[in-house]
Amino acid sequence: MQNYPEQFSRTHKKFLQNLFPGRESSFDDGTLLACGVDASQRHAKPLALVRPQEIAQVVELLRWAHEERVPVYPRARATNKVGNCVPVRHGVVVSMLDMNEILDIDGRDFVAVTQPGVITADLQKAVEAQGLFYPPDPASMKISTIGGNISTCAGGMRAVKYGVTRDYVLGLEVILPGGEIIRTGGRTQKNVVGLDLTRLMVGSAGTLGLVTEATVKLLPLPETSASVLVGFKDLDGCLCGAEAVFGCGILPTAMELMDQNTIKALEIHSDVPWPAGTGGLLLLKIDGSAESVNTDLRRIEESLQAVAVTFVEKGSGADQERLWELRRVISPAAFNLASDKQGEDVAVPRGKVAKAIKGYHSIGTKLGLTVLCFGHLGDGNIHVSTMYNKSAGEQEKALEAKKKIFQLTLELGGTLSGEHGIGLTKAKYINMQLDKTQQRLMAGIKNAFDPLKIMNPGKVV
Amino acid sequence: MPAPKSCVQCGKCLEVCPLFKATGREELTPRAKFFLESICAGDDQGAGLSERDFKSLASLCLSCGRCEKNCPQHMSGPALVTDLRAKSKGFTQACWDLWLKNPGLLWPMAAVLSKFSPEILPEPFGSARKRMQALFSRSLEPWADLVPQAKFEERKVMLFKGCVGRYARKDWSIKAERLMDGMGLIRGEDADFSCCGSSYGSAGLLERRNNSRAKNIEVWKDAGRPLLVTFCATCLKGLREYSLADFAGDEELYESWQECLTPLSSLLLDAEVKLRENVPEQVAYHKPCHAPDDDTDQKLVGLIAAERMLPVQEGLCCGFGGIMQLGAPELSKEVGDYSLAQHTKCMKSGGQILSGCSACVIQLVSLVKDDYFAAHWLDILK
Repeated sequence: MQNYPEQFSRTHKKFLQNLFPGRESSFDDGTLLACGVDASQRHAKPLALVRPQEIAQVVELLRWAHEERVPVYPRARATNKVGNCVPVRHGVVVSMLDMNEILDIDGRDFVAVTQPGVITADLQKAVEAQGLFYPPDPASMKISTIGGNISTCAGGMRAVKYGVTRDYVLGLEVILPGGEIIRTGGRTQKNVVGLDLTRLMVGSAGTLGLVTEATVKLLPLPETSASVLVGFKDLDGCLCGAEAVFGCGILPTAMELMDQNTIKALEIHSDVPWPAGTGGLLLLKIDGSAESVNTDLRRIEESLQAVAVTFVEKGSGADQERLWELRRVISPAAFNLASDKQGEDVAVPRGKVAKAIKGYHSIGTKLGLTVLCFGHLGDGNIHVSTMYNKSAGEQEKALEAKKKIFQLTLELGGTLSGEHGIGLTKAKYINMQLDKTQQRLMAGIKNAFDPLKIMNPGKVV
Repeated sequence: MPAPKSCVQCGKCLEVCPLFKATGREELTPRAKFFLESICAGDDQGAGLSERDFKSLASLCLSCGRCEKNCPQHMSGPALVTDLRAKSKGFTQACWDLWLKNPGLLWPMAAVLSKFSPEILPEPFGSARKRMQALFSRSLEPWADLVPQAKFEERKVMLFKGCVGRYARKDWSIKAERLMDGMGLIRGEDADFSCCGSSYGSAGLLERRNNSRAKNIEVWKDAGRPLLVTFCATCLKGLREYSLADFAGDEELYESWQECLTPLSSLLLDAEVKLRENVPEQVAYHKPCHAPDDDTDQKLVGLIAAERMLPVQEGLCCGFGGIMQLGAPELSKEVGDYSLAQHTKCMKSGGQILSGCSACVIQLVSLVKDDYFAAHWLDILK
């Protein structure tokens, strides 16, 4: 393993203090510890925290870090779940939160240009005020930043219809180790010149360079939307319902599934609108013009007539939120079933979802653990939560479940992660999915960008 | 509220924490406080973080309580801080304790001290001096008359003035009493209420808080359980937080107390409003962190200001934060400045920012730029 500095020399510290004067740099224990943790709950302590205000500082920092072999850990709101922000090799944490301006919103080019520290929901509000639409909507959108979303290629519930972050990034300004600035892509919707470095950067988790500006694609804002929550007796009914909806020729904005165990957790946690005995739920959203939304709603209702449902509730406008709130509280509600949770966000081809979910349940049953499946049925990205009690010594069994869930997913032609990434927490499973040749190519790409391995070292993408 | 579990570092508190909003400093967030607490208590002995450093960082909290409402795990930043402060009483706690224990002495003293230069005062008093000076220097001309409807309440009523109303802004108390008289309410003899206890609580002075509560309950019982009328959102919150234990488990008494607590503004929503010529063009309402769900102060200001009222911005904290004023005045100011910048973003010169919490008013008045006014809504009434 490469050697990185365990401590900073006086010269190192002085350099950083000069480049990041006053409150732009911190070295005290409390601040350093606080910026070394993320939503994975893993943590490590960096040697310094810096908060750049402008690009020139980032350029100079990466020139210096390259020369001194100092690890650089880009960070924004640290809401990722796989440890991508944890400074396992110490070095410098670079908080991009102060670079938080929306630089341009252009309704003719249909693009927005933004700095990385802008909160995704704020960007959405700003473009919506001009009748425009930035669709990616990770569950964390009110707290996470566009820079973090780009770094992790964040998904979201609207991915069924609109795709993920990668589909909306047209251009990036990136500072490379050594301090060079590259501008990939641009404001055009099409661009086939050269290899696609923009798409390569998105989802690279800060291991290739540091993004300082992004140009994102916008769409016209849909006029309206509506949501439907449909209850079924069991999972089979639920999956038939989903088939029926897709079968009627509608591509919903979002299509979320909740299985029986998820329903159980929600029933303990909140007041729920569905009748007892509901064993599967579908939550759908459609958007478009007022007319088309009405027509689509009718078609959905018609298509569901062929399937046995226990319950249907519709909502439109702000009233939809109460339905979606039930989806959002699943994660905390899950803890009503057991004290510890091991969450996966595998994805399988859409047609394999039924088989996958049944397989995950059976893995749980065989090991005597409760497995919850919920999430983005529409795009095959299923959140699989294995609930267990650490204090009862069930951790080993949970890890076994994890491996089995991964195996089944790959057998079905799926992927270990649809949204969250690999990072620290899933690093040891990467060989299950990527063969040696692919890994060699990826290492070569990493080497081309960052030969001295100073960008987010210790992580797997 | 369900029982707190443990922080999972999800970051939902970042959305609402006013200290983080104004400073962008992650180490000040509730998430960071819970993390630092967990590693200090853990096996790695704080990974190099001294207990003192942890406490001084963790205690930087405005006690607004927004994180708790937004947290899927029901974790409360203010509860952590109260607990920490209760376990260690340092310099700032002692100052605040002194301030609150002798408010009769200290509020007027601060007013007098305000005539001297800040250099001769220790910092807590220095910032208090500035606040007092500001509080009394630039007052606003009343521009509305309220003609309250008669209330046929048979029970006696009493005004709970709070520390500011008792010692620093007696004119608020006088106006409030006049409004109560105008409604034909039977006002009880002026009684010797103590501090509501809210600031003691957030300063971690739990014994003093409990003594205050006991004293107030005693006074209220002796007066024959009158309606308790308040004009400060923080006092109202403080009084509403009295627990069943404060009433020695007497449920009937506890229910009766809760039912008696009445914001003054709630009695004025049917009053007739008459505006004077000097009515300002624009009015903003500063919603206190401690405002109740049914914020009748906001309703009243909306009623009086009508079309002059700017849309109310949720989630802005004045930055007063009780003990923060003494422990970290520069942070408190940063949060207050941020809040005022948001309030005045679309406001024309001469606009007024009104609130219904004494602490918010003190803070906003001391920080507001000369082009604008900040005041309690009582100030605009003749």
